Amino acid sequence: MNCDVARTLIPEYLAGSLARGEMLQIQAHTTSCRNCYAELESLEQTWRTLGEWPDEEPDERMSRNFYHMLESFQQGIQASDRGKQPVRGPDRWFHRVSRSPLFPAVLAAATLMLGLLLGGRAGGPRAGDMDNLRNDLSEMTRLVSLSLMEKESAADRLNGVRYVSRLEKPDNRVLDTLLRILENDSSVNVRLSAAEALYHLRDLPEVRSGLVLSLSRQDSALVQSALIDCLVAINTPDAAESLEELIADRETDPLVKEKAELGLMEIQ
Amino acid sequence: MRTTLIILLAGLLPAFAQDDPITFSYTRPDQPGKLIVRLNNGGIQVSGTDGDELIVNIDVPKSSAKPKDSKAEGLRHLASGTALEIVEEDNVAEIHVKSHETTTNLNIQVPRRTSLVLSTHRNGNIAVSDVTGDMELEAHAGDISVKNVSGSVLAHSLRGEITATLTGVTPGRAQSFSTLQGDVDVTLPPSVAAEFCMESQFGEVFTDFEIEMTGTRISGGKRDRNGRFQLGLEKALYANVNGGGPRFDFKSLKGNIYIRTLSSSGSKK
Repeated sequence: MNCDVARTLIPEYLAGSLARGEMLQIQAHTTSCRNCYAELESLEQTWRTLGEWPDEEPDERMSRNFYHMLESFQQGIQASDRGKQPVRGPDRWFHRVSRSPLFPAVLAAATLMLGLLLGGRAGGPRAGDMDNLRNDLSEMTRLVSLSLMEKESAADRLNGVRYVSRLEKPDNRVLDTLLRILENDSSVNVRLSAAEALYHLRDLPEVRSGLVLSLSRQDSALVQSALIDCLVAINTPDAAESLEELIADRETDPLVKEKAELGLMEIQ
Repeated sequence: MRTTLIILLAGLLPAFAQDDPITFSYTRPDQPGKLIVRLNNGGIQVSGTDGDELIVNIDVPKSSAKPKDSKAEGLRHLASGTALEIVEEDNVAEIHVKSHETTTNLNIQVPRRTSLVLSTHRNGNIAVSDVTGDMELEAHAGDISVKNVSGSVLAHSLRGEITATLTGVTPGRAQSFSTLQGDVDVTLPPSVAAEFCMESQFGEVFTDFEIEMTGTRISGGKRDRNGRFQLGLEKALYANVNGGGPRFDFKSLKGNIYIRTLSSSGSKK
């Protein structure tokens, strides 16, 4: 399968409407082709996230921007339709997508992209527009991350935790969710991932105190091990005290205890 | 539609093996399903087939015999406290074994496109083969073995080893393998595009993938009480493979990490 064919079929692959043979071909192709893989990943993420978008009331500014972009999109479609024959691949894709319950959300995403494109053609976006766009993108990443971290599938929650690293300034809701995952998630692997994400945010006071408190509540030896790394990096008297408690606890795994002792030496 | 099967294992005596396997199907057999099994004591073996049915075989090994009850002398043993409950609803099947004492091993055949959530607490290994889907596997004391699977795998074993051979990965999906004491030995298709995070506190890391190191997280070392030099506590290596992609974690505290490329014949190199 070549890239042109693969890209025509990727939307149908995501919609689950491909025959098994074509599905396997797409999987094989995207495993080896970086560009098509990137396209698949990007579209998949968009579909996945927009499908479970949290119900939030748009503020006035967002509504204004949206209707402006929608208008641009409609103008763009009318302009591009004049004197052009429809192309089979995209037309077929549009037909499929338009029947999807996600269509309004996909339309909004497409509108955003087209709005950008039109803006670029008209002489480039202004600095203010770029700032707004950056903010919108950051807000979208935040919502994607929060949405994924609440999912039933551990693989989704793992991806959600990874998304936090793309946020410049995670807000309290994101931090609370991360700390909750660190303490309660049913999957040790997801908890490990949350410990790593919080390690990188350890300069924030609420994260520091959350990590120090969390060590005594962990029942997984491997997560305890990851938290020792966090506490050594935090390097405060509270962190040292928490390590001492872990060492004194009879239930602590001998390997974890050895690591905690080494950690305590690094702090002192 | 919700279907519930409760099998009272009245004859669940030592060395018991149910002669007739329990068979059931997903509500919509033409679509991928999900199987959830959480065992307190025992092993779980799941293998994918081309059929539409789930087939459950139960085995109670002789070694799990309880001490003889002297009060029961001369009486026939009719029931133990063990029951198997299977609930299927909306293509999600859940199996519970209600027994804390008796070791109960389950051997389950599933349609190939099945996602799995399997955990075993006290004893027993988890073995999965020939399945496509998302897999969450957790074994407290035993090993985890994954063969000829495609999809995404999150595997954690506390005391055991993890051995996994993936013939395909779901694009964009993270993978994660972690153990406290055992080795992590994972074989992946050579064309896989990912960011590897490899971390072993006291062990070694090996791979035959062409990797492009993107960073390390090694804290400063110092001498311990016996004067031995100890490399920093944190020892994580980050590398892109085939240009990078979703994160694949390989973590062990004490064991070694082996990441291998799958040869074209489907075997480890």
